[in-house]
Amino acid sequence: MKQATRTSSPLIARFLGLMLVLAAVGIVLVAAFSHYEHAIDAREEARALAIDRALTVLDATETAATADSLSRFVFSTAAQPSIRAIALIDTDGRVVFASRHAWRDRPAETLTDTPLGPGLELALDRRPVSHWDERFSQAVAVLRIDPVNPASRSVRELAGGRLVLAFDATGLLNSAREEAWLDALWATGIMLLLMLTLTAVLHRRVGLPLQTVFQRARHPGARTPRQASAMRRAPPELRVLDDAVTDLVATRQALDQERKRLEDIANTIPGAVYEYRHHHGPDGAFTFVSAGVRSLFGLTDEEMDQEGGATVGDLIWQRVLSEDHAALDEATKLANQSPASEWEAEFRIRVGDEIRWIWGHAAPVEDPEPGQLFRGVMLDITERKHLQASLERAATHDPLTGILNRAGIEPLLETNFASAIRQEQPLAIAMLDIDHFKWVNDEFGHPMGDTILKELTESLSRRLRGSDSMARWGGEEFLVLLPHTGLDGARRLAEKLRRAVAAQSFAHDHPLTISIGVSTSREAESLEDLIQQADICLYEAKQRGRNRVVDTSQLGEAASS
Amino acid sequence: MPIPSPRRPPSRARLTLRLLVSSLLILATATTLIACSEPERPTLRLAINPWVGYGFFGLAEERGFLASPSAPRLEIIETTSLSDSVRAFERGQVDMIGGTLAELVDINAHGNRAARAILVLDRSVGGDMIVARAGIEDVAQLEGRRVAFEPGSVNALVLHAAATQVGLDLSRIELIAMPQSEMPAALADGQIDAAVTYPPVAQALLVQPGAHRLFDTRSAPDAVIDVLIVAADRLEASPSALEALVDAHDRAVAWGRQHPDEARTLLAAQTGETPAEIDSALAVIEMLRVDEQTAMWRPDGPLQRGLEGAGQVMTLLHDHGPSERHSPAEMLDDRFVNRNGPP
Repeated sequence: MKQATRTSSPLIARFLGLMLVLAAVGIVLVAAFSHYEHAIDAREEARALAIDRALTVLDATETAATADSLSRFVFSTAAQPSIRAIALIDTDGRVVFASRHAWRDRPAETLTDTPLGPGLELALDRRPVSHWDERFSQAVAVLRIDPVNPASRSVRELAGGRLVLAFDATGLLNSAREEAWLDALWATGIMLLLMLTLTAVLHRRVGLPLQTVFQRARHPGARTPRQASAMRRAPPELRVLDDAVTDLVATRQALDQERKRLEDIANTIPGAVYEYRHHHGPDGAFTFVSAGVRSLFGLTDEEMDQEGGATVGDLIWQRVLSEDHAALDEATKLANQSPASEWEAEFRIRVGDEIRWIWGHAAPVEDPEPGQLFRGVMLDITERKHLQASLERAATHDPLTGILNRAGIEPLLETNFASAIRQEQPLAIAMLDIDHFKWVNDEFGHPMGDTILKELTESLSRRLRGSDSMARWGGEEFLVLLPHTGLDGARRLAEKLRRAVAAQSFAHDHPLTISIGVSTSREAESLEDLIQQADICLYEAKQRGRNRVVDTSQLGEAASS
Repeated sequence: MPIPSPRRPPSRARLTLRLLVSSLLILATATTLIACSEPERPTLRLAINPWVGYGFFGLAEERGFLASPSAPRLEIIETTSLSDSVRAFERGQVDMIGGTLAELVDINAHGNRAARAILVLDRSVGGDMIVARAGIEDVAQLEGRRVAFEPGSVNALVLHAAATQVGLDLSRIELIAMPQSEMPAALADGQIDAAVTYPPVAQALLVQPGAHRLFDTRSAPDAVIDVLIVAADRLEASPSALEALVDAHDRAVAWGRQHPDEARTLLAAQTGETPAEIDSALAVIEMLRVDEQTAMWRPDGPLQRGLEGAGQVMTLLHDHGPSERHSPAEMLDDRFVNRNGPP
């Protein structure tokens, strides 16, 4: 928003700034060149004036009646502000006349430090000689004194000597400087006029249209009347540019809307939609996650927005239960084998105290970037998992007692029997039946019967070993699987169970007994055979008066007895 | 976010204004630079003839008493005589001259350029004299004789003082106008019988055989006072520079009293005279410091009286009389002498 309030085009401002700088440089250059030129003129003028004045003094030497009158003339002439010093020096180098009393009758070489100094070194010529002396800002003229018919005798003695005149050029130099400044002021005026004209034209033809384009790039929409009139005056190039910017802005807006719609779709889909780029090694990264990922994985805003903090990938990985890490890695490895295939995994995460099941499914996408890109979804399948678990339990367990039912124990029986045969290990099963249970049901009702069944199951379960399994085989019939147990061991355990039940008191306050048939894998040819033998033994135990244990070894006895 | 801006685009008037302001800044800078390029220290041009009483300005410059930033740059223009100094002043070639009250009256009478005295430099105690050839032993004997004098100069004051003492009417003397520098030759050639003069020309006259001192200012106290005469326009334009100049001269006089030998050497070098000539010239004048001259500036003091006398002589000597008459008070400016108010 801060930028939106700035509407003037920076380009035009910079251009104007540059113009001002150029104008300033131009003015300074004009001033410098003008000063240089005027200073040269001033020096030339000073040299010419020095010679003129010197010639005037020279003329006076011809006409002066006496030495005193000539001396007076020298002093009077030197009183002019532009004349700094005058000296007339004879051929011996002695100063005869001078504009200072102290200089008179002295050897000329003692005056080298005075303004006359430069004139003493100049070579004499028939024609006047002049010299510019920067140290004193003066022009020095040197003339040879050649009197034709002088009135004064002392002048005649000067013949062949030199006349030196120092002309003060300070005034001329000051004027030169003022002239230079005047030129600079003129230049300023002209520059101003030029710049104003140029600026007005540029502003109208380029500045305003460009500014309009600039504004419309920032704030698109219908053209205001002002903008429309500005564009009418614009050159064709800018009009084309304006149209292009308008199209570009419209396209950008449409793209923005489309992107937002897609983002909304992704965010409203249950679960999370994501894009992930897999690289070999640990540095895979989510390139997109929909908003659903926050609720799915319980990610807080602080975690997501933290600058330089953990990535989304890291945060998700931290929540996956460690026991599922290997399975996830395996699924990823599998999906990235060439050619890349679909990735699918179910895994658990911990969000607070809660464990959630997540199902992820992603498909590989071809793209030119390095690494393999996947796009997929992740869904919360905790409910489904719970339902599935309870269905599985219902199919394999007895709903009344909670122990395995016939379907539940059958796979156990098969696997244990197979491994017992393969490993030549003993395996026993015991088949139990409650004696006279019909009577209990008839006498005390079925609810009491159910209670007693539960009491019995709990009692038996407590007495079984850890590796043993028990299932409700029929109405009041139970099967106990005893792995790694021989006939003797099984018989002892069965006897222990029988005695425990006989000694226990049940809810109906009447004695309760069980009969048990025991068989082992040694004598059985198959699992069915094993079960059948146990069943036969149970039948035998019932026959022999109930409340007893009969194993396969006792079947023969009975037959013989 | 595309939000329409409430601000209007800058108008052309605003851009033009910006440009104008920048340009004005450039102009202002240029003007300031021009103003700064003017010299800060004013230059004051002083014309003096070879007179030891005026030599202390050169001495002040030589000793560096004019080196302070408030002090002016002093350009000393040497002339042959007081009348040449007056001429340079009236032509505007110099701002100040060293002169007597006669020159002050003369300048103001001509009306070319108003001038005022701001400082008494010295007073003559025998420095101004009348030198006569052998045979003329008394001022009264000058009657009918050719006496050279420099018109519009102190000579008139001396001549007037001498004639007044003996009751001689000036109109009875044949006055010959002549610059000082030409007097020795004129006396030697017999063109004149006497000359009103002062050192160093007086020495050149006195060495001639028979020439002798007929009258001098020892017998006419305060008849001849040398002052610093400044153009009235300069007085208004550069008062602080003039103040510094007066101070520098005062220091030079004080230094000269403390170091007479060095002062003599410096003065001799400036004027091109011998130290002995400087000594004899100094013997007949009295250099005055600022605090020694305050009494002279009073309304009844010698300056006012001298100016009145000079005016009278001028009226007498010129048929037409001075074209303008100024009151003595108009020609005196005591602000630099009485800086703490009138005494």
